[in-house]
Amino acid sequence: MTTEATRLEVHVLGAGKGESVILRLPNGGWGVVDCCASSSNDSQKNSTLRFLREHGATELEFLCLTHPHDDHYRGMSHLLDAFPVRYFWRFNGLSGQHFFSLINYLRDESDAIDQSDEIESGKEFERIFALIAGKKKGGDSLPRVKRSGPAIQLYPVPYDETASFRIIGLAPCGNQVEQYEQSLARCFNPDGTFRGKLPYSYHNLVSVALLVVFGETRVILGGDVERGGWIDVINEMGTAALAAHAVKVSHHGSPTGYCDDLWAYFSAKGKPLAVVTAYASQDLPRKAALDHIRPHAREILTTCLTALKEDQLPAWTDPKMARLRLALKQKMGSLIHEISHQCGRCTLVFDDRGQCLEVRTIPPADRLSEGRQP
Amino acid sequence: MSQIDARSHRHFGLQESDEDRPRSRRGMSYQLAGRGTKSLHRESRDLGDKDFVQMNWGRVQQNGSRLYTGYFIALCKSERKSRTKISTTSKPTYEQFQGFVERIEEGVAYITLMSSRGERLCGPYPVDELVAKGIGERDRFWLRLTDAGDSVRFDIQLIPRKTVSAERQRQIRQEIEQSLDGYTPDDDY
Repeated sequence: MTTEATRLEVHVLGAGKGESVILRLPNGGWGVVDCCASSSNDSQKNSTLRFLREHGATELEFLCLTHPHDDHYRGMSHLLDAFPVRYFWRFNGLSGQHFFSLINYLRDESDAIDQSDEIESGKEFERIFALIAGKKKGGDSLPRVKRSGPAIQLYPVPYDETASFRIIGLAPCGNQVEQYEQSLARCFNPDGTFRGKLPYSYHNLVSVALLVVFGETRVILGGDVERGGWIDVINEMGTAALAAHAVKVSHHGSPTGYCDDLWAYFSAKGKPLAVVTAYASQDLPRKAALDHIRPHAREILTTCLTALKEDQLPAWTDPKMARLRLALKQKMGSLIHEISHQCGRCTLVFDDRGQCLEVRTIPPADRLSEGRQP
Repeated sequence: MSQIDARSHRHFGLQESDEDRPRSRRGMSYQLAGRGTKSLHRESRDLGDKDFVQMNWGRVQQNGSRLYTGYFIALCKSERKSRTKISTTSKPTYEQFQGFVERIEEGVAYITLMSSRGERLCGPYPVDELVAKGIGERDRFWLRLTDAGDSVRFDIQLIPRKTVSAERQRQIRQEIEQSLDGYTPDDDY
């Protein structure tokens, strides 16, 4: 019988916007990669926090912020508030002034957009690091902050190559970080005032990807790494490092979330389980990406099946108003009612020999068979 | 009949009431004489608004109410006419959303639309139509759909970004420095 000490649990949460991956480590500890609460002001709405509390977590071994998109960090401050965190991992690069430029950028940009949820997101990113700063200022040596990059040994600390459970950084690579820093610098005038906006997808340039190793079991958490990032990962890490038993599909199942042959490398030693986190407002995952992944995956799971369905519009009985909505739907091709999604969960349990002992989906999470794709 | 009632009779196209006539001509004005009050009520019900009929049913039942019932039927007819008029002359149906461009990717804009009823609708939108109106990624806009009879008109307008003043930017920078006091990213290993 497999006991907790010899099993790794991977819980992927998502509610149609963003994701959170909770790891129950073989030693019983907890780690979290990203957070996707529906609000950063109300911790009661934080599904990641609720899950951890319900399962008796009292501290986090690590917390990882993959990149500065709010669907990956919203509500992370609740976790820092609620639990002692030993290690905090963030994306590589952005040392010194560049890091403060990023926080400035997020605040200035959200102020210019002048929309309450954007302003909230801009402040949440700052709040995460303010909480870390506050803990350090209070004399607390934890959390220790470490930057992830290719082949960076993240866990255990100190790193032990012979340890049964290990976590190694795969991304971001140097090229991507360099490109990001230069683009970010162009958003400011020489006097430091805000000049212009950064293309939204550029934040994915610095997205962290992780390789989780437990004995022979290998799980890849792809963050929001896009095509160019994966090409650099292959160049820096080699293809053998990418064989996996489970993959958290990068960038919510976007066609930009993989490069040629990436999924062939993932499936080199057997088809992995693939978990896709939906992002309804960006129409993710897309059929093209799922068609690309399907031949290489044992099964595709999604955290929020309802976010993949169309025609989720609320009933509108006035025929004239219905006519307007119909015209809008025809114009847009697909129209989804965003707030109707609950947070779903895909749970995978592995032993240390690469065997998946359990696959569980908590609705609206579900298996994404061929006939149920968007 | 009071002056006001008489005026309302004329307003609704009724002949003058029996009481307004000389005694010699009373009882000759309406063709309703001899019909039961229930049948009159049924007729008025068919003509008028159900709630309105129910509200007035007590009056219909009153003794010697036939004149009043006639007035009531006319009132219902008039009400029906006036409702039709409202519906035919009302402003064109429209719905307005506040939109936000989440992301532009490979020629497609992914937008979120917020309706006045608090719904959040999202999906792809032709990027050319947005760009033509000066709307780009992470911009807000108004989208107004108007029922133009044989088609639905789409009107889009950019909501200009707020200019963050140099003073406000300095204030933001100070807030960040204060909140991150003690955090030195160069120490991250």
